[in-house]
Amino acid sequence: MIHKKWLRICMACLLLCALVSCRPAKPELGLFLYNEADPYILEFGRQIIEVAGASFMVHKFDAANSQPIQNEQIESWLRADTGVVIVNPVDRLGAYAVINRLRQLDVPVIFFNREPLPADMALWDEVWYVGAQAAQSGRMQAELVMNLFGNNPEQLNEYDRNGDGRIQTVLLKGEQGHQDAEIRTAEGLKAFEEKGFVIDVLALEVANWNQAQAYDTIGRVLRDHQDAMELVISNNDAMALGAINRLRQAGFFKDNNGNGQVDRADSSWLPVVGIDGLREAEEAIADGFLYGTVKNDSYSMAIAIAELAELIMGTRDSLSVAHTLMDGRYIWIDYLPFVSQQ
Amino acid sequence: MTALSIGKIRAMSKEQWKELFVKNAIYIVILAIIAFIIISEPAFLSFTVFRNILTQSAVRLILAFGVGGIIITQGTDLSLGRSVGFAAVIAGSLLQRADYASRFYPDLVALPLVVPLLLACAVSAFFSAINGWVVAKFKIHPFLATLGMMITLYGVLSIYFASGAPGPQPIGGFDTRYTEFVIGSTFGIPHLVIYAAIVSVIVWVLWNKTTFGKNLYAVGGNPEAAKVSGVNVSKTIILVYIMAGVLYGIGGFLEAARIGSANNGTGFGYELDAIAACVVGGISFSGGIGKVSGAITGVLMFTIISYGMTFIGMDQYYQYIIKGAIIVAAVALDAKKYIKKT
Repeated sequence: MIHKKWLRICMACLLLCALVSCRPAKPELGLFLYNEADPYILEFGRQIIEVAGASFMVHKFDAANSQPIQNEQIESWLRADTGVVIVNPVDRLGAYAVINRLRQLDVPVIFFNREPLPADMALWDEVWYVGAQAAQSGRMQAELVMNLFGNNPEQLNEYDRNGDGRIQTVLLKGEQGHQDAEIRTAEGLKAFEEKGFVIDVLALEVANWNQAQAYDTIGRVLRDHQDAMELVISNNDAMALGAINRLRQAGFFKDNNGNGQVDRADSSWLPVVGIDGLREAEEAIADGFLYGTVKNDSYSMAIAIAELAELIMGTRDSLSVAHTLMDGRYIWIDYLPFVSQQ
Repeated sequence: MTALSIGKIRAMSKEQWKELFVKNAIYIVILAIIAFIIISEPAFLSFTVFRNILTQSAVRLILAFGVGGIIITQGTDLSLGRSVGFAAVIAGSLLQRADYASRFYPDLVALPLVVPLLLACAVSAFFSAINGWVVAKFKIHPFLATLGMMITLYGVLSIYFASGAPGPQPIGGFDTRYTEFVIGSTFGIPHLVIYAAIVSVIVWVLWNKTTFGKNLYAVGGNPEAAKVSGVNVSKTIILVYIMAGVLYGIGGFLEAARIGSANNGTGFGYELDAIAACVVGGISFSGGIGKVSGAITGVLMFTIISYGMTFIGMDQYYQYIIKGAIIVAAVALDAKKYIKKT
């Protein structure tokens, strides 16, 4: 009796193994994400799987924010028939070790979301990057604001609340020394300057990309500048949303004109702009709180990544027009401005 | 009569079989998992995979020896990860290429590799010695003493990390001598494997052939008895922590180059991997029991499982479930052995 039972268990195990070992004919593609606890990356990963899934068997791995785990995942998963891997590095410097390892094994790699150093990209010619340029997002934010203020630096419209011809601004910076934060802030200010707009920076605060920290920071700023503020520019949506929550408590975004909604025409409305295009940000725009955001277009990036992977595998002859290869190895995806249609 | 004795033998051998099975249940389960991996991907049985597994195990093994010694004295060490991180940041900050853009010390000359290595070991050993001293003198439970050290070290490490010329940025761009020393190979044998082998031999000698080793097991098995028979318990405990610190220093030195970058998050959570490997390898939390071969087995088991499950493309969340179950099972079996011992 006992023998029979064991026999049955063994048979079941073998059957299970046989089922698992069936591999489909599509080429295999490894997708390595830095951290699925980041909602933006979780969504991005889903989009890549959806788009690339048509022509690849996609295997996804989450490094849980650890570069050594990611390195080992890549090494462990690779095999002779691996076509191409797609890597979102945990640490942009971590790309160095990844590129060296993949070069030894001759497996091409597409990086996304975190751009490796140019020197590391130059280590090997089978390395590509798909992403967006931080400078563009800062400039687009500035353009959204200039549109709102009437596009004429000589004569600002009613959003220049005190009518002094200058825009009193609070800047929320992601992180001191963070490449994207520095570039977004600097490029945005440069764009204003080029068009002749005068920005008075009331405060430049670092809130570490974080909604709760931005909430606290804006609380402090309000003590000194509540009446002077005419604009808040944030390096990302999360901080913009935190700022809005605090501003609402301080009496901004009311329906003073009694038209039944929060809107720009109201005297308590204050323009706040973010970057990323989070779903919550889109909701805040629809509800009239957030003036606008600049969308980091992950879906277009996912399409570009899938096309590039097919090109590398030889299953596609050329990239579509929207995705031109710059310097032979970069595909830059444009940010998309996104404002409420009031 | 004949029938009776046959029955007796049968009953006995059944008991023995059962005991053998229970004693080694954890290894049987792990072997079953490995068998499953091999059946579903026969390519797993290859020289490359074997070499990669040994390489990935190397640093983990060195760290497991460190905490393993402490576990033998009925202790534990939660500060392992931060200590490794500190050593990695120290070594990395002192070994950057001369032409790298953002160097931690812009004007530092090229140091001989041994200088940063010794410095990393000295710093780790210093903090670890404090752990040992607190545990030995104040009889504070090692869990709490090292929990405090884990938090303190993170503070110290982060301050040092932020003090570099480019500010708090990941440290990369390592000297090729350093990278080659760590991730290179000689006659096809990865250097990391060679270092792990050397450390294994040294630790084996220390644990088995020296007075320190004898005292270590005596203190771990029964501190009171050890004291009565003239063993300096405090000295033994402090020594084992210092030894652990030196091993963390070596581990951190190797880890920075293996990953290709270091920051104040490097090493996070490594203590748990190392402790888990020791427990699965039969180093008992009740003290006095544990062998070098046990640490090697434990580390290899975990690496083989995570490598293998990634190799067959299994989602890492299932890997967590399996690893967690293995740890609890190992501890349960360990407790069973301990109950038998008393």
